[in-house]
Amino acid sequence: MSEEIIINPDARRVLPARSTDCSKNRLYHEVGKRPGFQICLVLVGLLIVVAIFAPVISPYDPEAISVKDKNLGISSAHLFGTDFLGRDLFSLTIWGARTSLFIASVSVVIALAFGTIIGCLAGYYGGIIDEILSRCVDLLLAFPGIIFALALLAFMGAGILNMIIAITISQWAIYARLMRGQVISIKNLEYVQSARTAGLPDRRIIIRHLFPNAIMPVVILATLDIGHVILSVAGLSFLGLGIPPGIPEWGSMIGAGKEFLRTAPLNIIVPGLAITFVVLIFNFLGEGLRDILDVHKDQVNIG
Amino acid sequence: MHHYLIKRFAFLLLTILAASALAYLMLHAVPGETAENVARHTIVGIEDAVSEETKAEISAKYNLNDPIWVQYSNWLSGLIFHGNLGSSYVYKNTSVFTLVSLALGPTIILAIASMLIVIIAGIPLGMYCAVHENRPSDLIIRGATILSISFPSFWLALMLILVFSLTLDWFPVSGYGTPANIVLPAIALSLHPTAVVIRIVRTSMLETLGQQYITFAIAKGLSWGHILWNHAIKNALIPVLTLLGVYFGHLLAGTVIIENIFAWPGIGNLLITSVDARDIPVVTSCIVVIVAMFLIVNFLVDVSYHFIDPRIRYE
Repeated sequence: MSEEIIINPDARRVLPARSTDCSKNRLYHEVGKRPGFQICLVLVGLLIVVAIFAPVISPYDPEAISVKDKNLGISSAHLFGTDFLGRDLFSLTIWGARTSLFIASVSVVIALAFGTIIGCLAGYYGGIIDEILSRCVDLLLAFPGIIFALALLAFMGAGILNMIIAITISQWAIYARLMRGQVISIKNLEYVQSARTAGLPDRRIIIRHLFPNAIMPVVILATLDIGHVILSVAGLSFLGLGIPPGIPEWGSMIGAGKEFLRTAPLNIIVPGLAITFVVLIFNFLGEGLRDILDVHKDQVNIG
Repeated sequence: MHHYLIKRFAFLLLTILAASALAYLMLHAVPGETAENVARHTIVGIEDAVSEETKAEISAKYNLNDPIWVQYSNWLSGLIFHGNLGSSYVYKNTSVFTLVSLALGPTIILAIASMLIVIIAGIPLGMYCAVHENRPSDLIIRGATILSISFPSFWLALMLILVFSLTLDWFPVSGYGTPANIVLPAIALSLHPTAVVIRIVRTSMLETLGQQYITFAIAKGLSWGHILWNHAIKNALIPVLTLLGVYFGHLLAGTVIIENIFAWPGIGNLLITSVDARDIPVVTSCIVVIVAMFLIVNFLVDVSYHFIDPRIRYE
């Protein structure tokens, strides 16, 4: 009972190891059946393009302060209006996407890689290695939500790099735990044992046999986690702990604009909608991916 | 059972201890910085430079030159034997222990109020969705849950203030003391976990309703309400219980931001103002208290399994 922890509401459905049929044909077929998932893919692509080409797309310099234009409403010149310093909110939002997506993707990828390696080692070797690594994971997971990242940032100070470090350190444990469970559930299957009997070195067994068969649930969790990380980054920046002033970021935009809630609510509504929109897309993407790769559901329907 | 409880309890204490060590070491790792902090708060003022002599003086006074584990064990023995968490740099006449214990009450009240909303709204809505699977009402509620999982809670809090305080003037913008004060923060805090609970209850209920004993109960001619409330609900709610424990932790973490917005005088608010002021003793204590509350609630959830589902045995 204590082995099982539910990180994400729906991760429970991800946890058990199943032989996942990821042949290309089936994948295309499944994606083809789901127009919603295709729309999500397109939107994620669009987001990445917007983030990369922010300097080209944004109509104004996001840092250009112009006090006479402050708190303007929505107009053709300023699609989303202007903020309390007269900066164009549309440009700020686009540049904010750059910051959020960069931090979220980098920290999730590093956490995923590190957590996967640790989880593989702990699950495969067991014994004292497993014991030590698992206790480290338990310890990190004892800090609820953003608390550990918050403590780290309180120690290190604000900054994009510090934010990535803080998020990575507080997130890797979840992947390590999931990967460990996956590896344990397949390491005694026949094909792994035959590989061992055939005298393959551990390194090769892990890389060739365990890793590809255990990784899928972890990848799905990572996709669902991107939205969660974007929310955490925004929350920490909102509190003034994450991103230093001068770098456009949605959470800090809301934090700075909250003084003007009554007089100029656009300052807050625009970045908030941006966060919601992006997180929504990644949540849909993760759920779609889970449905597509989850053979379990088909089995239930057929059986 | 007793054996299990004792083992589990010892493990709980160990984890709290380890987490407190981690938090302490993390925040006190740079001795020079700690001395500088104390100096800025007690002697020279926040903006001024701190001379090396002052730092050395303070390091000597607060034993900052000791190895970090000695400092930690001093702090820990102070806590265990004297109930003393050290003194705050900012609130000079108040001990950290007083500050934290004053803040604990409001946080627990807010957490309980939010948890009540989660349970009262989440479980019936989840069951409703399961019973009306794939009908329009189910789809609408599920759509709403995905949307609410994607909202940043602090943004929702500000929107609630904008609509219900500034525009409609139904509830106060911020503060603490009257029942009206708790409504908006509790709603902002509970929306996310409520959405998750709805989804889990729905999934779990559908799974339970597909089982043979339910089919048998239907065949026996029992009324639908009777089956739902007497047969299905008990089994369907077991996974929800685990989740309530985990989400209580998220709730605690969420209070950090929500309390800040509503000027709610709880642990989260104390934590953030102390981080801003680099008041490290208070920050450490707040983090340790939050972690301890989270672990204790999960311990209670684990233990209560046995009473809810006697089939579950512990090794």
